[in-house]
Amino acid sequence: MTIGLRTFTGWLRPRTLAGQTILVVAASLFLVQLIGFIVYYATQRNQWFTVAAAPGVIRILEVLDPRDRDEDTDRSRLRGVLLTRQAPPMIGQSEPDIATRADELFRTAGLRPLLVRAAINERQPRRLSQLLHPGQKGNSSPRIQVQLSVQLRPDQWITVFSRAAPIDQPILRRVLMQTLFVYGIVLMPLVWFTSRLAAPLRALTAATTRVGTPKGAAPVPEVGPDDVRQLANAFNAMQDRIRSMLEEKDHMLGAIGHDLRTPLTALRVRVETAVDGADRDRMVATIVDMQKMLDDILSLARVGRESEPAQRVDLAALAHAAIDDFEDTGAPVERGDMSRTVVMVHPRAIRRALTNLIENAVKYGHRATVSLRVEGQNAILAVADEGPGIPGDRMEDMLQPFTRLEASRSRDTGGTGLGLAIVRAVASAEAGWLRLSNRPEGGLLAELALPLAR
Amino acid sequence: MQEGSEMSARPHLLLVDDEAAIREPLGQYLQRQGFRVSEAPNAAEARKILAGSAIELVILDVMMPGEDGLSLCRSIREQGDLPVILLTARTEETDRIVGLEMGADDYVLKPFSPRELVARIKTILRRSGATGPREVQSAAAIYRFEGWTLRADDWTLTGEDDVAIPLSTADFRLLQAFVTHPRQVLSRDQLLDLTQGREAHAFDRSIDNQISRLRRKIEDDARSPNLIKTVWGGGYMFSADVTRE
Repeated sequence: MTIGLRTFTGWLRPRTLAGQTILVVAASLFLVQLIGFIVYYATQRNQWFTVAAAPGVIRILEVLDPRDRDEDTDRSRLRGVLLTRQAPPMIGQSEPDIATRADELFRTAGLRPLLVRAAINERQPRRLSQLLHPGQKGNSSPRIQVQLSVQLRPDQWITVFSRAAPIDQPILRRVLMQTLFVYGIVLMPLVWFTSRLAAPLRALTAATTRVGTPKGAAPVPEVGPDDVRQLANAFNAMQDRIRSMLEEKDHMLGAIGHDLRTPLTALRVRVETAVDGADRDRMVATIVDMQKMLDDILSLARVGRESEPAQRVDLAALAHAAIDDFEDTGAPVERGDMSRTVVMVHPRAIRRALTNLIENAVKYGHRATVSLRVEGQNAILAVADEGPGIPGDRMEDMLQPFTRLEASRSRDTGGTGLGLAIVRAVASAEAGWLRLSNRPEGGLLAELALPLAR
Repeated sequence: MQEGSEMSARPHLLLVDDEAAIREPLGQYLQRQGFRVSEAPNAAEARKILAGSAIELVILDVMMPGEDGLSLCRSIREQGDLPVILLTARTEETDRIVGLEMGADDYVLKPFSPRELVARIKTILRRSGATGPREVQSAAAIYRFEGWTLRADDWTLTGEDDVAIPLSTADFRLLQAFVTHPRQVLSRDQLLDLTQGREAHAFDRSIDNQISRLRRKIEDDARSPNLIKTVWGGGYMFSADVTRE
């Protein structure tokens, strides 16, 4: 019920350009139609007063006509005409409008009555159904009795009864039909026009949300009125520039990766063949670090640019797989609560992110505990450690590329400083988020939230 | 002279790389490790050497001016069963996929450890002939069996409910070894050989432990397995039909 009502009021208050334009035009049109019909109805009514008054007026004028009087005609002429000294009782509902019209007609004919009264008596009250569907009933439409009483002299009243058809116009139906007709004529082209206007805007919105994603946005069709077309044109040009910048970046990073790897390889081969002992191991470790940094830079640059579509993935199974890998190398990783939770992600990217978090926890926090829970619309992977945590004012910094805590810059623990930056980039590419906090019982808590699959 | 009588014991390798800074020290290193090494700076030279001597394994750089490594690899594969190890500087998945589809037996990412390269060479030389015709383990392959889909590109196993279950490195390699050798009895040694990591990754667990972990993931009842059957005295057998895409 409430939903129905909300949908209804929502429908009454459209949010789109097309909806609002159409609503405004439709409302104005309806108002114009209504005014038109009020005027029309008033005219009709005015005419009906004449039609209702005229027969009575003619009868009275005939009765009073002094020409060609003889006994026979006099008698028949007076049939149905009531002459009284007092004001006669009025049968039915008094109709001053008809009386006024009759008075005008008398004056036009040169008669100056002292007072004119009129009343109508409807045999059957008119019902709404008759207004809407006249002629639907088998019998003819009801006739109305019109009483017209005229005071010619203070002690002479003359009264006639005549009949008139009611205003037999299917007013409401005509209002509706005509309004619909006008709507058809005006609104159809308007719907066409506004959709022509709105479609490019919608395409533009859809394209804008895809800018910078791996596939990029397809060019927006340049259609619609000139100003909209120019907007689409400008957008496409901007998108081309962004795409070529991104391609240039990828190309450059690829070239850096390749060009640095070749000398690194040469260096490593030389070191391993020419140098002996502890020096060699230290040199190799440095080369491995440089390689890892190159890999991390390239990964960070490629986050969110997967060519594969996202898939439905059991996040608990993913966490178990990542933990298995650590366990197989003997790293201290514990499993907290984890039950099957399905999310829509790129499994490889998420695995990389979780691996980074576990790696950090093991490296700086002695031990990692991984758990998974559901909070609202998100699945939250939490990695807790037992280390010193991060000072509150450095939290945000830690997410920036190449940032490390001073304490961890030493050779044996220092990573590339890209791990958390990659995790955060992955989280936002997968429509989730990364949050770091210090646990009250000590140690750092890293939480990676991902939207649940629908 | 140098080769002399031990010639048969020293496998003859062909090293193709345009970078002299890598090729020369690597060639020296491989010779010291007991291989006989011919070097070529480009594909054309490599073809000449291949035509003139009995090479047993080719180490091939992917990025070379002129004809590149992938193209040479493909033509080597068309002519026979000569093992190829690709040296590549690029980590892009597409390159791995293309490289392995071209018929390379393995690849190493630059900068690689020469020691690791030697280990790979030895593994491949031991494997060729031992496990019969090689099944190229493509990084892009999709294997289907018994309602499951195994995707080699992101190491996920997808069930009939269309939800992907990511596998650990060890689980994935083991399952990949099985699906590429369906309905064949594989001994523990063969499984070890097939699952040996590309990275020097020491697996603490024995093959038996890994098998039971994998069974818990894919068997309806891990205690009476239908997919991975234990063969008395022989090892294990994957008893489902596998289709590969």
